[in-house]
Amino acid sequence: MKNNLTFFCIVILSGCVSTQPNTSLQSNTDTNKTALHSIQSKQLRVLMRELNDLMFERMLNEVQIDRQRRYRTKEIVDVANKLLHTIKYIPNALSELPLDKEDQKIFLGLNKKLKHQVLLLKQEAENNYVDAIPKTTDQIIETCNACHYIFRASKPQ
Amino acid sequence: MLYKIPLFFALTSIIVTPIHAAEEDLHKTVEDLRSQVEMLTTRLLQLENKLNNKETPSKQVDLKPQLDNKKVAVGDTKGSIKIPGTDTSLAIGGYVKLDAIYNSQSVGGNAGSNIGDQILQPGSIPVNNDDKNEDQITFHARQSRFWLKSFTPTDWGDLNTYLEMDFFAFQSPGNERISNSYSPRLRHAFGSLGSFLAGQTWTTFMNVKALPELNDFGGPVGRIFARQPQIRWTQQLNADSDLMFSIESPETTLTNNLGNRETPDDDQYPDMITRLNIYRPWGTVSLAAMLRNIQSNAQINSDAFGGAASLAGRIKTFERDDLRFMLNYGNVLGRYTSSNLFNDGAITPEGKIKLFDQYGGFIAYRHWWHDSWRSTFAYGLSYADNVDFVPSTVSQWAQSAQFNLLWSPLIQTTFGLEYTYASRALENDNSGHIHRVQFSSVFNF
Repeated sequence: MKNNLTFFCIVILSGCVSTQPNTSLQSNTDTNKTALHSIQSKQLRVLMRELNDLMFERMLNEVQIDRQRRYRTKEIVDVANKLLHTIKYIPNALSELPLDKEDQKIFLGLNKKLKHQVLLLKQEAENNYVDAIPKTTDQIIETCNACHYIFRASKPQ
Repeated sequence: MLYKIPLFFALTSIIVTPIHAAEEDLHKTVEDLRSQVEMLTTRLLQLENKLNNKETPSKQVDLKPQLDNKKVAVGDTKGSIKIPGTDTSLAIGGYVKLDAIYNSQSVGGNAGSNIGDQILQPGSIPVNNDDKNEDQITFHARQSRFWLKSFTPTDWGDLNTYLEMDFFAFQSPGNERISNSYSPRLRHAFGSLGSFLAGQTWTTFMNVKALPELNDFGGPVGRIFARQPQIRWTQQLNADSDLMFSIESPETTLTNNLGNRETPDDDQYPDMITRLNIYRPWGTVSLAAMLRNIQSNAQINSDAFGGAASLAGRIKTFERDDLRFMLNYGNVLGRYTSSNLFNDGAITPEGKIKLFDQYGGFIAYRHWWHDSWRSTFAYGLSYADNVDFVPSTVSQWAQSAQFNLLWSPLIQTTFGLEYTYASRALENDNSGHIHRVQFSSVFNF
């Protein structure tokens, strides 16, 4: 199991950290999907920061600020849709990765949780529930980090 | 009861069967009948269940509208609630702000008339710094603000209403001796439906997003800044741009033969403004043009048409930083820029109106040191190419430089310290400057 995890971690981490194609690994397509979800999480964080920064605007009136918020929430919906698309393909990688059933179960569980959280985020953004978005975004990032942490922890030092 | 009917006929047929019928046949018939009874009973239960399931949701549908009318729902905009039974979202908000200011030189005047000590007003910068006004300290909470807004989605587009007030009423300032009872004043009062807006708000000539984040309420010098009643149409060109057209409340300000300001209030044409806005991932840029008629009937009937243009924007630079700017040029900038440092025109010795060129602008950079720490540096300049016949005591130029350090430990609060240097020169080359240090605290609600 440890060997499987090692291989899996190399594949996943290379996808998360680097955008350079790695020809020595066979699952480039799948790692790219993983890289995509990392990029999209960063986009979410930037959008969230921009939403927060609107609180510091003292010259824009609230109607203008609301308009700015709606632009940002629309962008959040777009990013959420892209994330959902990416998440849909992540389990496909498992068929080509040498993971045992237990690891697959953990990975799929986290993937399912991520999908649920992104769906929630999308709903909140569509309904302009701006106050709820930061918490959901944090949860998404926590899920991503949890996944990385679990598999990185198994990586030999 | 239904299952008893076939049972009855079956039993009857059994009775009339000849006695010599085989015992095996009788037994088989009974078994068949039993299975039929079981099948009918099951079917009957299924029908009963189906009927029950149909009744349950219909009761819920009847109750739902009544429940919805009784509870308060989250509104469609941040921090709003829906008025029960309507699609209208209502919200209130604002902030409380304290300014504690040290001025190297007071603008003079008693409490109540010393607004230039409380905000940067380029026209109030004292010239000849050796005069009797000494340094001074002032505290005020006049920028504290309150707003009320509503939002309703309709088939015609979004319906917005907005009302905002603060306590910078220039006409009725409070005293600083006992209660500092400053009067509220109207800042914004407008409604909009889809692309149409009517009411008092920022002039269309001004790109609000380009203004820097400063503690000071009046700076930087060179900015376009006016709120006034108007009628505006915003035409969306595509996802990244729109074009605004407006007619706005006119007001003429003139320099008379003594160098003083006159506001004749004889205007006959609205100020006509158009602005193109471009929104891109790297920031926003706008180009505005204005046509004005400057008019006075005080001495003899005289008027003059003039124009002005403004290029403004906010450009994202490194990570969270941004660069903001505004460049303005025209012969009717007058009251639109630098808090009316220059007038819209001058009255000739013959009593006619003469326009003159003015230009100005500012550049500001905001840098984030940390998630909650940031600084803005802003420099602004305004210059007037005054006509020869005006007295030499009118302003020729003014400039300002401001630097601050702001800290927001929570998203609702900001504390900041700001340094301001500002100077002004007259046509006769007399000039003066001020240094200002301003502490501000803002608590949003």
